[in-house]
Amino acid sequence: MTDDYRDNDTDIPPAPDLYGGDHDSPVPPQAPPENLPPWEDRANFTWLAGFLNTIPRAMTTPERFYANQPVRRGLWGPVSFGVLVMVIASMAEWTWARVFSDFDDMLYKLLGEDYAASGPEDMIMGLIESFGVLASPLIGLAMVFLVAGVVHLGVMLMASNGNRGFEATLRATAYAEAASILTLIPICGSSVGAVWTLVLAVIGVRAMHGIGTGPALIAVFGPLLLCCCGFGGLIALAGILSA
Amino acid sequence: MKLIRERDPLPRLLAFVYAPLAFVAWWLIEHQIMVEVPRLYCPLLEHTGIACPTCGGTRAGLALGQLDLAGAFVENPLIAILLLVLGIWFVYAVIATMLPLLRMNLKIGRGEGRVIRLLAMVLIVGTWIYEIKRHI
Repeated sequence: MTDDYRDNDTDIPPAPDLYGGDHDSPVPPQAPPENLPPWEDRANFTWLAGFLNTIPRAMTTPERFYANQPVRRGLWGPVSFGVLVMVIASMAEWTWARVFSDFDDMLYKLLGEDYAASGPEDMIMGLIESFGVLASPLIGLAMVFLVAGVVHLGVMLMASNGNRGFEATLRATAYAEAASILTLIPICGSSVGAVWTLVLAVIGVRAMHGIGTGPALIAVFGPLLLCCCGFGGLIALAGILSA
Repeated sequence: MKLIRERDPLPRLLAFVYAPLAFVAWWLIEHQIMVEVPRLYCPLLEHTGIACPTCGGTRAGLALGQLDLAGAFVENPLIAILLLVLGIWFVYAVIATMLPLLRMNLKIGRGEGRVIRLLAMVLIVGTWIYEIKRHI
């Protein structure tokens, strides 16, 4: 009968002492596994499946979605997701503007105002809108970095015990754009999506940087409210709250 | 506060995103392409008569574009400082990208971080008071 458990066998080198040789010390807590969004999880999702899975997860369970996301994996994943959603939203908005082109006129008639866009004005507006759709990947790319940069300034001011870096903020804001997909719903979709995006951004900043809800709210809304559209932002917020 | 060997290149590389973005914004405004300066009004100032902390920011950027440093500070000190820091950051990023020996990260202690945050708050509030007084 052979002993398979050769504890004292000198042929086997001792296991390396990973934790400094103090065998009485408790086992150090292991870091939780990284929680990759499906969009970046190429091992388990295709591009399309990753995209389609990321949107509902980010929108419906943001706490779980943002928890333990990596913060040193690179910007490509969140940036490409944010740009893709913005391009889809831009195309949807352009389409709805075409489909509901009479909606504005109807609104003006309801308000009792006599308004009709002149031929050239209509043409110029159409050109600008078309240019916006064509340029939406570039505009989206600029917006992803612009929003993340502004919010990160807020995070740097509010996170008293340090923040987890720019990538964490960019992940929070870029994946918050998932709610922009609501623009696919005509008329009210873009407004609902905009509000939902802000809520997701606050939850994302809170989860990614491990800060409180108050500092996260100030980090996201502070720059938006205090900067150039301070009063407009307040009116919008008041309108949303009173709706 | 001390300089250490660069461990994370992201802060340096981000200068290549934000400086061109600022330049494109300045160029569009300067040449009034898609953006008409008179239309860039401040809703807070328009409706209440109270300026916001970034009132005059566009004019500060335009003044800096014409290398009028004093004019930029008169228009909005906060934006002028932010744009100057962005410019310095970009110049450093270009040089450090070409000369790897110069690649550094700024290590800020906890106490120093608190002081910088306090100074930033003072700068924001100070600029706001200045802008309110300037627009009365």
